[in-house]
Amino acid sequence: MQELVLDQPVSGARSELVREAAQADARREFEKRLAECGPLAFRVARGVLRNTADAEDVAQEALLRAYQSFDRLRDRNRFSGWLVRISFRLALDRLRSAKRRERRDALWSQPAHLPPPATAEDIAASNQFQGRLERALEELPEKLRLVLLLSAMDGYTIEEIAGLIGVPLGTVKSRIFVARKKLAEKLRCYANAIKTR
Amino acid sequence: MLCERYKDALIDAAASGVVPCEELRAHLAECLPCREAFIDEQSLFAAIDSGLHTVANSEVPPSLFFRVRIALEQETSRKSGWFSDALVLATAAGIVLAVFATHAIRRTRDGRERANIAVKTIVRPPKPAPSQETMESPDRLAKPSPSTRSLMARSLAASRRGDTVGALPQVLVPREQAVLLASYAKQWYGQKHAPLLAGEEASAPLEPLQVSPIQIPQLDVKPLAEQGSQ
Repeated sequence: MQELVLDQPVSGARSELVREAAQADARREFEKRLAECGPLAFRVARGVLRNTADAEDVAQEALLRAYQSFDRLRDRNRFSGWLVRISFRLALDRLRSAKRRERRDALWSQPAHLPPPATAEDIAASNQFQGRLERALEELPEKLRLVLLLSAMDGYTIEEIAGLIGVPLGTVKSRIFVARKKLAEKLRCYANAIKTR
Repeated sequence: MLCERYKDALIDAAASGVVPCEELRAHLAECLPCREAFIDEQSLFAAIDSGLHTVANSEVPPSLFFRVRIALEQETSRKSGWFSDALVLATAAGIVLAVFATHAIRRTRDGRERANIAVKTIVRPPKPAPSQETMESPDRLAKPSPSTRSLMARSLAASRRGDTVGALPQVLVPREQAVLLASYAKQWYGQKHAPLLAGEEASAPLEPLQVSPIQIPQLDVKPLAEQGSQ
């Protein structure tokens, strides 16, 4: 004999539709945040990695993680702060693993760090300065590096940066000051060498 | 040669980008090497700022948003796929449990009936007149099982009391068709409540359509030229 079950189909349908509507709602809200904060995630990653493709990967991963934790991150300030931190952390992880891979490869092959061919002396000097600056930036402590990157971005005041990374305003100012001085220390000799050429 | 006394103050002033203090300004006015060093420091910090600006404001590739959207789609479908898988598994587990439970109940009841028959066989009581139940025994086969009867009774009682959950209808459905019914109910409910759902989603109210009034220029009817018709 056929077995019957007592079912309440509309109840299930309603709850599923409500769940789907809530998902769609969250998705729309996230799309807004994506337009606002996507560039921020990319630029933070790019500042650390110095490579557009890698930065894109990292930004994508950070944004996906943000979507997965979106229920906890509905607040706009909280969302962008969280995104900055996660992008920075993921970019650092990727940089470290890339360095490990580079070191491993270097054991098996010839060192391939040849400078790019210079077409004109000025351009070469400028490119080299940029390269040295980025290397010097990489050597900065993580806290200083993040603050310096954010302060160099268009559209973020020092107050906003303090809100993003959750530290007092005075701390942000002092970190920027110390970071710039450290960069200058690293680049002063090189700048003097260019000048005396 | 840079004056040691003012070296740090000079670098700090260049790094902070603020106007040097009175004492340093006076010194810079009279010491040429320090003035040149200060200008060099200012140039160095300007170059650093420019380089940092380049690093920090790199152009965002348009492919980023496209890639993120694709990843989000995959994430969403993976989530819903997981949900439907869980639903199917839960349904299957429920069916298996129900089959086992029914089987176990039948076996227990059969065992009891056998025991009763055995007792009756030993005692051999006088043959009773055929009861109403035994008269209707062929019909018993067509009757629903006890579990189904209890479900029907529950449904009937609930409908009599009028306390259906959320005033939503409950139906008896063959177990294997429950999933199909749920799917149908979802479609039906979605169609019925589509305006409500859409109303929840639309954040901005629709403005009435503005149609400019039709303007018909005055017809300029010229009188026929007076020409002599032949």
